[in-house]
Amino acid sequence: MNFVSKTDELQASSEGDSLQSLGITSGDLVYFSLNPKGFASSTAASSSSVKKTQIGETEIQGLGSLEGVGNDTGFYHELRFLKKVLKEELGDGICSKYNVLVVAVHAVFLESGLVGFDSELGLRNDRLYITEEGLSKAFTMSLSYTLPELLDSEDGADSTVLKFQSLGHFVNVYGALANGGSEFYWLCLDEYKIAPIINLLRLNCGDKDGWCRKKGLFDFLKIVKDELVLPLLADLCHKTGCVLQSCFTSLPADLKLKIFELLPGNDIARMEYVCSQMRQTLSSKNDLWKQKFVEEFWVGEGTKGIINWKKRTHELQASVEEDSLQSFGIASGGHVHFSLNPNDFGSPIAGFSSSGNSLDKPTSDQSLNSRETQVQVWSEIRVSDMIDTVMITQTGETGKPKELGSLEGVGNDSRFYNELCFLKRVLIEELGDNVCSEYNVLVVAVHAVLLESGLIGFDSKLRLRNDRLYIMEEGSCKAFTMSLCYTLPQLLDNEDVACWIVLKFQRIGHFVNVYGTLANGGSEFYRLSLDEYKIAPFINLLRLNCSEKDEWCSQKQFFEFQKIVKDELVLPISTDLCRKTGLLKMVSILIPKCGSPTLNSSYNVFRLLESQLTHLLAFSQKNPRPR
Amino acid sequence: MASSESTTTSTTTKVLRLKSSDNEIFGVEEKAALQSETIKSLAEDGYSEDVIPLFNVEKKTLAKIVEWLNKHASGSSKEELKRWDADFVDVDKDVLYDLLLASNYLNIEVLLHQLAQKVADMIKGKKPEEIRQLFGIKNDFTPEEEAEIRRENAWAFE
Repeated sequence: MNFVSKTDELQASSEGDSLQSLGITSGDLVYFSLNPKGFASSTAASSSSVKKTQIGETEIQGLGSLEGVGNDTGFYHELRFLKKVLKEELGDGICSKYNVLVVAVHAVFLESGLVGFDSELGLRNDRLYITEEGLSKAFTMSLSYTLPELLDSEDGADSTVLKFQSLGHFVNVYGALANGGSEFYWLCLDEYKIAPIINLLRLNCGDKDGWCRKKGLFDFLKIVKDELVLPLLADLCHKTGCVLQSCFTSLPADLKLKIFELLPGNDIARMEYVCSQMRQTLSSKNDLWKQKFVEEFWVGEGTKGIINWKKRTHELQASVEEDSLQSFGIASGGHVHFSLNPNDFGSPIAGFSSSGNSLDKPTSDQSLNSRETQVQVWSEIRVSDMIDTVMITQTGETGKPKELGSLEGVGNDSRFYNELCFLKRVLIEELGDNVCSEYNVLVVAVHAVLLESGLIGFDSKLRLRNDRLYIMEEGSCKAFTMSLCYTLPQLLDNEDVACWIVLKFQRIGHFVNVYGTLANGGSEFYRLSLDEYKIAPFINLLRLNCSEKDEWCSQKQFFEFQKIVKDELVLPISTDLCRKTGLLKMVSILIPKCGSPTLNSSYNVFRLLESQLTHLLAFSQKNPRPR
Repeated sequence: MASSESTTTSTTTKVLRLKSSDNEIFGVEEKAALQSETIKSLAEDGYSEDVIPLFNVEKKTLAKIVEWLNKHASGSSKEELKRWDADFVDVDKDVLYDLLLASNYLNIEVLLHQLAQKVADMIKGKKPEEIRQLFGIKNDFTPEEEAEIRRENAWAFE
């Protein structure tokens, strides 16, 4: 027994190895050969294939006997290795199922980078030398394995010990570290199920078709690795301070983060509790928590400043657990608004809640009397809520807009009362009362026209609705080119649609060029050039309440601005968007009904589209999407 | 594409040769291989005529990646592919990590997502102790730290 162990591993090692590193000490019996095949073929084969990477190409060519393992499966290296070990240990003869299982488990251990270990001699020994009689007597046998790195350590290598026990037609495999310091791992294998498949491989009986059986074999490989090899390896590495190559914690941070992004917030929190490295990785990722927050609660993007998103998520999680679904819509701290339906955000300003389903009701006095609170609250809600309001009032519901007392300067005698109110609101939300560049004023005004037309702002990265711009004065002065995305509310819920509108703003002298097209192609480029000197001043008049009633002859200018943006940008692009996404059908059905297939003003066509969308919107509000 | 199939396929389909870190060479049809952004850019850099070296992928792993690439270029039905993919990612953790690293290096977005999803599914709903067991991670917190985290995250443990 002891002699044989010393023959192993000599030729496989690289030239640079010293005798010590091979585990050979003085007094050992060593056999040499210049011919790699000089040893009994079995020994030569086993020793050279122990390390994952040692099998050369030529050798694989030479393994002609491994028919039946097509290289069409990605696992053929593993299968070949298993077959090789089986052949070595068992040959082609008849042998017990128990032996087959023991050798197969042994092969999986070797394939994972462990080496067989003779604990008495402290030497490597990858062979089993199973004899049929020997085994049938000794129902309990034990095998030791260690890491190649540990073989050199002089104070005795730590190793893992496997014990095999035969109970009826089951084989129990127990694994633990030799000198304590780990748990017991246990695996139960059914001889009847596994041995036949492994024998097929050993005896070349599997023709290609037979390899549909490989599924059973893979399950075996997987369970042995996951239940025995990997936990034992982890324990061994932990105890000896070796670095475990394949381990979750050693994955690069960006990969780990990719995985965490796919987890619910709850599970991320638990990951944090697993070990200190994980805790460090996770607690510093405010962005990850923000994403989870948005995903799980559909909360508006209206909040400003630095927020601890993890804390937020926790707070909400807690409230959800306590509350029933009915009360899901309750805002916490007056900052956050919930909805089961993304289109269904109740406006916190009571006077504006058009659909009547506003979920919380801050008193209208509060929000309307003091300008400060008003602006603050506005910053928290979605502009889209107002679109709904504006669009619905356009279609005939009157009365409500009168509550807009704070929008002085816009007489409600104007035909464009609604549009003006809306524009003003967006301007104040985005820019406040402060001094700001004319470029910014134009960008926001164009943005407002798009929102007013029934489109919604869209965050193409998060694929969520976002109607806010958050323009900063310095930011936009430096970046003269900014881009905004829009989509239709109907398309928001549809995850398959990879199509939205992209606007790009470019500043040249006192002109602002606006380019519009569809993301991912499928439309032309539409361009519009706006003169800051002409347009910005009257928009600022509106924003800053400087105008008197008489000055609203300037509404003519506003009308022209709105018309040109709608005709040159909004209409052509949204037609393209509808065509590409199949929404146009309903519009083209509508046009003949009006009796004028050749509408001379494209603006009218858009009006049709808009009213159609309004109906849809109203419909979706009555029938909230289940989530 | 249809025209090329009507003529002799063997001459029209180009085969790229990929070399693993341990020097095994895999022949892969161009259409399949170019699903990897990394291979694509290497091929564009002029490696396409001779062997494309992939220094970060072992042959064991590359064999599986090649299998995936071929399957996903074979025009199987969406449903079959879904079933096949579920089988494909159902491997031991060792292989799973190797595949994750390789698909990240080769920049195969779809595969990377499938694998990440697989790991995420393994984690989902497990207690911290179970996760430690799952990944062979040692608990390296002091009892005080542990108590603090538990207090902080109590909501996640119910």
